[in-house]
Amino acid sequence: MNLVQKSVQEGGRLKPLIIPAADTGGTGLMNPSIFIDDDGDLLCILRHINYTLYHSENDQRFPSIWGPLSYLHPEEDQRLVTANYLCRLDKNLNIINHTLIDTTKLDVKPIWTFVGEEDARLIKWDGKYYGTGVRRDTTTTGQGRMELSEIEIDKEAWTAKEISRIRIPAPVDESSYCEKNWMPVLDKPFHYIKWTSPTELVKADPNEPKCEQVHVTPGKVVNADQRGGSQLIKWGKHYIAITHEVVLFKNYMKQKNGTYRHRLCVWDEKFVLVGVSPTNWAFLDGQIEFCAGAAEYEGDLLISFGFQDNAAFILQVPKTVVDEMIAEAINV
Amino acid sequence: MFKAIDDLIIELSKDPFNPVLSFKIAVEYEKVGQTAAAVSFYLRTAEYGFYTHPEYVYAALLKSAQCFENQKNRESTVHNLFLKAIAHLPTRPEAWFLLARYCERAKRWQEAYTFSETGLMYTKIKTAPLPIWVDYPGEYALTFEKAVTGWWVGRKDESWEIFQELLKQDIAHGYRSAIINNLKLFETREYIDPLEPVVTNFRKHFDSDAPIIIDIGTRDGDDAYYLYKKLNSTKVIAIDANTKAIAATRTKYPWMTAIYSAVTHEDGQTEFHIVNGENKEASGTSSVFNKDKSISPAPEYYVDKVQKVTVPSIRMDTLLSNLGINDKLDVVKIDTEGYSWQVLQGFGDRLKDVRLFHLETEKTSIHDDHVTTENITQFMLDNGFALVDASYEWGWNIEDQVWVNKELVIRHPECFNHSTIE
Repeated sequence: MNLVQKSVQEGGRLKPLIIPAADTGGTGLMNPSIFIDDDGDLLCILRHINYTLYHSENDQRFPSIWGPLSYLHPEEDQRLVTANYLCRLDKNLNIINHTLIDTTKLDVKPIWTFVGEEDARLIKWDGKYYGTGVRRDTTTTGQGRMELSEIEIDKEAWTAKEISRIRIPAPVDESSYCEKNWMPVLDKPFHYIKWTSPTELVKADPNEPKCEQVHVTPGKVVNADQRGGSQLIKWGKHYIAITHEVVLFKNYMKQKNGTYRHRLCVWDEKFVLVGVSPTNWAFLDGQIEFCAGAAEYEGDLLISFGFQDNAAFILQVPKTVVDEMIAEAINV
Repeated sequence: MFKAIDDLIIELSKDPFNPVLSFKIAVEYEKVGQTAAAVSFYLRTAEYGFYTHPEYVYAALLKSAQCFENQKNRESTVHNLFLKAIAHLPTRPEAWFLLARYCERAKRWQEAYTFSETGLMYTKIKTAPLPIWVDYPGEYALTFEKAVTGWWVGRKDESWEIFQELLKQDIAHGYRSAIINNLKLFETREYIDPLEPVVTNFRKHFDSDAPIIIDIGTRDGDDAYYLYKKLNSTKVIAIDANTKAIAATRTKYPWMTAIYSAVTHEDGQTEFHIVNGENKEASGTSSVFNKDKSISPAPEYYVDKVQKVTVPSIRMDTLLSNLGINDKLDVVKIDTEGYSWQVLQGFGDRLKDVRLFHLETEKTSIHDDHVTTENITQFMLDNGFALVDASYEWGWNIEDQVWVNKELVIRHPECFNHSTIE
């Protein structure tokens, strides 16, 4: 049973996150990141891309010219471009405000085909809003680094502007090719879970490109690599986050394909991994799904996720279901 | 806010590989312009319905192609998806047509000709209905593609003959318009303007000069200009309730008196349905009436194209008074997409001052308030007019009528008044 079905059965709800096609041209809206502000506002970063993921699932009867899993950008523009919208949701989880996050102050000419900050998680540290995701357009090789982008939000005029940008170096091996999907710890400013098992906790600097490894703890052993993920949020005496695992494979024509599945991970207060869902699960049984946001809301858990890189949803998971999942994760 | 999607996604979570549910979700996303999301669900329909739902798979592939077409600049993918649909159900005509049209628009003439010719082999085969309209109006559309592309691949005579045959059929407004425009390209055949009967009958019954021309529902002023030129006019009043139409008219013919208003039987305001889009003929079907019962094009054509606005409305007797026109009116053309009756009522006593009317009328009702050809004909007869020409530029259902005012006829009054002959 997928998590949406289970949650809805237990009283949860699911909503699509959509902003008008007049603003986006109809291409993908994906990988949203939910965050509950101090004043109760439900905020969300919604990633808009200039491409459409073409994915033929199942028996791959109808793959594209380039294979079963292809990013269909404009044929005369090879770039895969990301822009981010800041949205405000009402209590029914419908988007009531959206605005393109203005990055023009800090943008430089991209020199790689992946353009923009991807899968930015929305957080608020020391009273400032940040989007933190990976950027790969600053080198000619596509090297990816997490970035910390401070966002100035005007809630009256409903505008959002990036006012500072820090490219976070890899803490140990600066030659690594791509650092992404670090999971920000919501109540521990500038700390991320960089790797789940063993758990690697790192700390970035909001003022300069520095990053240090805080600790690495073995914790629970997981058979499949768990990658980020939502933010880490406090849930009772634990921290929890939604992680993903990827099975990449190729068809007989050597064309790539993949399946993403998820688990709930649980840490104690010292960031020792104490629980992982015993089996992986899907949101809606799509092959490609991705979670970039989680927040506690009225006792329940809100999870924001992308579907096939083309659609975005927010799911309210009842507390009973979350507690059950945590118990399962810890007791395995 | 997106309740249909909300409900369907919940259903899908319980039955995630159901191709029909995926299809319905795709349709809802496409309706709100979210073509990427729509593609994801259409492709799931295709994959998970492969063994059980052939028509859904076929339609999903066509709709995916159309979603990518809307995104623009994904030509290879659009082309490929049409081919996949053909390969899936090769003896259905829809994909052949859509691919032929796609190639024709890309000026890939021989491919388009070949695909339309091939598709025509399958138009007579009985097929199960598709779950959604895919923009295939019928066999004539494939024939049309064959004719268009035939011209470009060196089959001019064949092309001309096909166009002539198509004009005898009951085909959609846009196709008829395109054929008429295409026929203008055939240099060896003289093009005759559909308004030519107005010119001939005015000259025959009145004079060579028609000082005042009034064009109600002018669209772009072109028809008014044609009459102005042919009948040596001195004043043209062009009226339309579509701001774009009036703007276009003012740009092209700044010397015309262009008036932004609907002409009706009441002074005040009225709802008006603007048809948006690049197709000039389609935008010319903007009307006071909505398009729910439109016959040509069908209501499906107008989905997402129609914008309802409130516009000023005026009776013609009021307008003429406002303009200080108390003279006779030489030619009045009314092309208001089903609204001729109401326009005529607004003339009041000034009806008797009109020498010649050109009226667009419809034989079949297209709205609850619509008055058909039959009743308009009786009204004109009752008011002293004689029908001197009827033509069918837009097909059998739409009758363009030319009426002359018997009381005002100067030349050949014997045509209408037998006592004169005596």
